[in-house]
Amino acid sequence: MASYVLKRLLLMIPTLLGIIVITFAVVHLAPGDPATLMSQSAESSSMNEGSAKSIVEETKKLYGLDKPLPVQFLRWVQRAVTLDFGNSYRDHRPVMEKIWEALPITLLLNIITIFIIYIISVPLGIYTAVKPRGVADRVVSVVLLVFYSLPSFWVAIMLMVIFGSGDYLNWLPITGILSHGADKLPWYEIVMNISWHLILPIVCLTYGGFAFLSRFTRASMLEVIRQDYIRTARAKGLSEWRVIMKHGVRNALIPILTLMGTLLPALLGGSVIIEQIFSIPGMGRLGFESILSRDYPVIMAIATISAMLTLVSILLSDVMYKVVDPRITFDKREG
Amino acid sequence: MRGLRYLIVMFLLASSMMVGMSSCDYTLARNPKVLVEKIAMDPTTLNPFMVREMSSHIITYYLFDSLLEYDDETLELEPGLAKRWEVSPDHLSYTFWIEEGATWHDGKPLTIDDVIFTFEAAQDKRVDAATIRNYFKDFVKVERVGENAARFFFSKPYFKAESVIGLVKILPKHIFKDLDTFNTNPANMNPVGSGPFKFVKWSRGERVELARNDNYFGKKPGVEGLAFRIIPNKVTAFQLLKKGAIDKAKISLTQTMYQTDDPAFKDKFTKHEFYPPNNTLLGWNSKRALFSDRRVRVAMSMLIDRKKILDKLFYGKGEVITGPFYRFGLNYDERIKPYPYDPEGAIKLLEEAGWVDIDGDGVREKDGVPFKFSVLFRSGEKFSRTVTSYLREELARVGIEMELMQMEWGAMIGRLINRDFDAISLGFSIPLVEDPYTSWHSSQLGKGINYFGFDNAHADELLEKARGEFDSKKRAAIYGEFQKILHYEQPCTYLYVLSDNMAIARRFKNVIDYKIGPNIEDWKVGPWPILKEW
Repeated sequence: MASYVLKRLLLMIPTLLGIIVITFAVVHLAPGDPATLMSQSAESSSMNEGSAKSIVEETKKLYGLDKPLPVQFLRWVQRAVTLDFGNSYRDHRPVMEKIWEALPITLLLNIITIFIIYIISVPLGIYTAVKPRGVADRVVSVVLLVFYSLPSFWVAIMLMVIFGSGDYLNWLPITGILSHGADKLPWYEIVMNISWHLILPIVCLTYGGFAFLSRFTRASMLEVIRQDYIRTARAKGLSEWRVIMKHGVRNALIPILTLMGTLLPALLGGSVIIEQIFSIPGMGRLGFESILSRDYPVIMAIATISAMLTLVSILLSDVMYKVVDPRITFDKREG
Repeated sequence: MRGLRYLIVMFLLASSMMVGMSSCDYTLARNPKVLVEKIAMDPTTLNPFMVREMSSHIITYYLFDSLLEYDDETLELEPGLAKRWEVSPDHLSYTFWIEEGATWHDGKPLTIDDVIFTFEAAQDKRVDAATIRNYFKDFVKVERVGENAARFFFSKPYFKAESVIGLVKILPKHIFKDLDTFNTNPANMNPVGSGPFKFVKWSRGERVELARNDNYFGKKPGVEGLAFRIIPNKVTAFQLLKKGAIDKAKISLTQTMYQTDDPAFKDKFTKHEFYPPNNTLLGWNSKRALFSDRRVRVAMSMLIDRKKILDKLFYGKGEVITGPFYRFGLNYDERIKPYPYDPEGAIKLLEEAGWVDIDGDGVREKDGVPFKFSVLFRSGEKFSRTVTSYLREELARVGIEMELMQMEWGAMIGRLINRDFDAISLGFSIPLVEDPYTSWHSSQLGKGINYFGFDNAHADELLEKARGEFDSKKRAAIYGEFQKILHYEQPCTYLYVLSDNMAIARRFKNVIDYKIGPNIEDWKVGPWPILKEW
């Protein structure tokens, strides 16, 4: 097992390098460059006098963008191995500082979202698997399919108009995660204030996620229920609840548990659409704005970190298989 | 049964949450004397030298002062930090006397050393301010004269020199000592300025707060503070406005016409209309064979029914323009009338230029080349999409094939700067002291902003002459001459100056509707309703 993990870890180095090279090339070869964009405001579609070629060239020189690409790449790698991702072109601040600011917000959102998705869809999946093709199963699948198909930007705006604008109900805030000045309140009121702000974004982030996980659970459960040991358990005269929960669910959860490994990168990546609509300064917005302004250092840092996390999480889910299911082995000799 | 228990537990959890939320008071009241407005993006910097986008520009405008300022009504320069200024008879040196008693927000006095430091920093290549440096090409030096005056020397007489110096925001020397660290100085995020508002707090991605500078030497504003909320999505911004979380926001044309007429909205807001100096146009790349002939370009202008598009699609909220100047400024020549919408005339011109449909396939050709081109515009931009879609139909009817090419902003500017386009739909913001030299002189063809390949010896001559003309009336006459050439040549088809619509909370009084836009510094706070912090 240890040698397997070590081998996998070593294999990650060339993989990561490949990802970085490709990302770097794509980012730099995409049309538009930071110096050109800096000469103009991206908010209005009007040009001003700043976009003369001479000005752009001077700015390029200042940022070292006039050097050939391989030189720029080596310079970047040289710094990145010490986890120094440099300064953002957009506002001259250290990239890591910007990521550390956005990360907690996205983590909060994602942890709550994933928790809610799991706590609702796993029981739902089990429930529908117990009586497959019954009325409940059909209703649930239709409802979830509808949820899954609704585009989140539309739902977000609809919910916003209904619950958060002055037109109908003015109940919920529609931007940010904390009211201005609320940081001076006692802690429990801060918690309430944050929850008040999170209702709409969390609803928008979760409703589409139920379908996949509950169908996944249902399929896995159905497969388990057909097994002989379930029949044996029933034959022993155990109550249906015990049969399902103790013998069924435990085994059905194995693939779901390993699925959690892939959540690691998902935790980090924010939702661009929801963060834009609800003005939440998380990772999704940071990444999106960096791409729009061709802020190479930030894009590269986010790409590298998520590539690393993805690789680790793939390894993690493989290891998890082994942990939850003793039948699986990595070493041929043992098998 | 246990499933039911699970449901009950979930229900109890949810309901206790609801009870908790409704029982304790976690909402806050909003200070009605603070004006909350919306900006679309987090500012990149609060150092006026490094400003490149709107958000930073809007905020630093209130934080820093310059030697001179515009009058919002007359658009003339008037004293700012400088109480008076003098120009030498040869127009090569300018002396500015600064206001005594002006201070920085940290209490230190603002002296002539700060002024001199500012202009020396602007010249330094290490400083990330290429846009400002671009205006200082003929600048020689600045020197101190006596206790509180500075004299600026130029190598060439240039009418704009006064505003070039006058409108640079003055920086504090005691904060930016070392120019090596200028670009990364912490004060770029935590600025010390001298303007009517001082910096309080910047919550990244959410909000920037300013408070009134009570030690300001000039007229103190009526509002106690300004807060800028960062709202990237336009729909969200409009909802926020309606729910009363922001006090001032631009609203779109559709919102102005259809979504803001209910009594609930009118109760809370007043609507205003401004005409900021911003001209829209369709540029024809004269360096490409298709548009090298003047007759073709004029035909293009004659195929766009500018008046009808304006009335039908933009509710008549704007004016058709014919030249590069601000429609309501001194230099715009009203005597020049736009080419009329005249497809017959356009066909005649095209045929004169040799574009005839010989093979009968519905597309005109010349020397075997069909008349096909693409027009570039920013993806998702409604104005350009509307105008170009309309034009495409019109062109198809006379045998010209135009392809619409939407491009992401960064990619599109790259194409524009490299002159890699046939035609392009653009807006141009015009500086208030206008000098069309940079856009239209032939010396600006390669590296400057003469994007459309306009190259005319007589126009060059006029533009050069205007640069040395210090009487604004005489200069306007020269520019009138220049506009005639530009109109005759039609390197681009000027479209409109369009209105900017804004909603402003009713509690603000003394809101004056200048043509170019409102000035918050005029405003006073009247009686207010109860406001909530969302």
